[in-house]
Amino acid sequence: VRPLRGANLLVAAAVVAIAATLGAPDVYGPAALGGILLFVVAAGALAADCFPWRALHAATSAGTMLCGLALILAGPLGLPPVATGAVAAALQPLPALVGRRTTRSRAR
Amino acid sequence: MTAAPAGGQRAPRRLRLALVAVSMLCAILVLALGVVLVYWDRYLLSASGDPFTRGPFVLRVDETSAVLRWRVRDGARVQVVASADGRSVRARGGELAGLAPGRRYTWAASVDGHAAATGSFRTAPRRMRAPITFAVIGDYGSGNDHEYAVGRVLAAQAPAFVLTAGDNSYLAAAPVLLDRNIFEPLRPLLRQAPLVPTMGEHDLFWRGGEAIQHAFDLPGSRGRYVMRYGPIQVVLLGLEAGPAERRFAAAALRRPGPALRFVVVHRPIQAGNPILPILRRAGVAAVFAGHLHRYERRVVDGVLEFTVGTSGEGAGDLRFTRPTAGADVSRLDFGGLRVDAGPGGVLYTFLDERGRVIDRLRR
Repeated sequence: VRPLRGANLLVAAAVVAIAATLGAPDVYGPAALGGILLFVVAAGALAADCFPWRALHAATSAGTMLCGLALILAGPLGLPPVATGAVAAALQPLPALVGRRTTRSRAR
Repeated sequence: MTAAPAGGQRAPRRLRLALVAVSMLCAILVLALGVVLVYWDRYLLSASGDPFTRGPFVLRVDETSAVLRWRVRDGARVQVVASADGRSVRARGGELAGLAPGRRYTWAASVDGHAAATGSFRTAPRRMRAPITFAVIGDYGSGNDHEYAVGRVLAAQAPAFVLTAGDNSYLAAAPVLLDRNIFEPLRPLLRQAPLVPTMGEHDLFWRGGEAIQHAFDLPGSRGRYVMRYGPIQVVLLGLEAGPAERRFAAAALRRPGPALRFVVVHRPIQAGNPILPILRRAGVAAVFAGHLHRYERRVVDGVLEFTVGTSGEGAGDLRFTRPTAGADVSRLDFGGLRVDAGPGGVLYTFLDERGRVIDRLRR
């Protein structure tokens, strides 16, 4: 799943960068495109997280799908693409970070 | 011995990859479906349909008031506002009061906060300073293409009111047929001008014309009443000019005030009818009749008479639709009569269903 999360991280970071430079309504087009990519790739990641079942991974993938939808609908609903993209970017390394901390605490 | 576990690990990995690919494909399809649904809802589905099952139509107009009527689906609440000269008047129960004489008012009937029907009408002037345009039709209520065409042509003339010489609904003026035969074909016309009908055999056949009388809230019975539009008086006699109608016309035409008087009767008045001297003495400008499915213009015992019997139903068998002897003009063209009544005289123009001028007379 790492390549999928890596791709999502790249897309989310790109959305944040574009949203920081472009103002509304110019930002909504690239944001929607990024949202479509996030939604599709996260759907694949979610499927991979289900077999075998990994709750945290699946939850972050589902959260990324929601962020993708929010970016697609950012224009009509007036949602901020910067914040949505930042949340999507933050979700990608989360399972790895939590997993590392758990491994360390078990080692102690 | 070592090949078996490696192959066993590869199979679930491929299955997982396939699952990932299928899920991504599903996500693309979900998005595509969402786009199609949103597009369908916002751009392909039409606006909500016409909430009115009848009208709104202008029922009556005088110098300072007007009445509109309608029938609406599902008991929807209708608000009517008329405006002219930068001033708006709100209707109460379809009645607009406090209007200025001799003005064209535009009106809008709103359902759920937006206009569902619009039109305009002209209030009657107090005096005959400028020409007043009105229309005359007869033998029209068949709901066919000719009636629709005549209705459109006359609507474009923007008449103040529309006189009908009877046979408003074929084969009978039953309540269930009125929308098909009158209100739908003449919809553009009735949104700007009240219909002032008298009655023919086909109207009276159904309970003595009860349906027409009720639909247009007529003051008299059997299509016999008097209508005033500012300086114009119209005496409507009903089916024919018999003894009772003669007395009624004599009394109505004695009333002082009108600058111009017209008479409407379904069956054309023939030479020698005792009503003709009464009409002549009263200075009746013209008699409008129907019954014969022709357009005819003639002078009968010194009274100008028009037969306007081709506004929809059509001639049928020509053996029974022969021209009247002595008629100056006799035609079979579908159409209606436009009348411009002004201080300098009256201009009569017969327009066919294509909008062409077929006959013209200034008096």
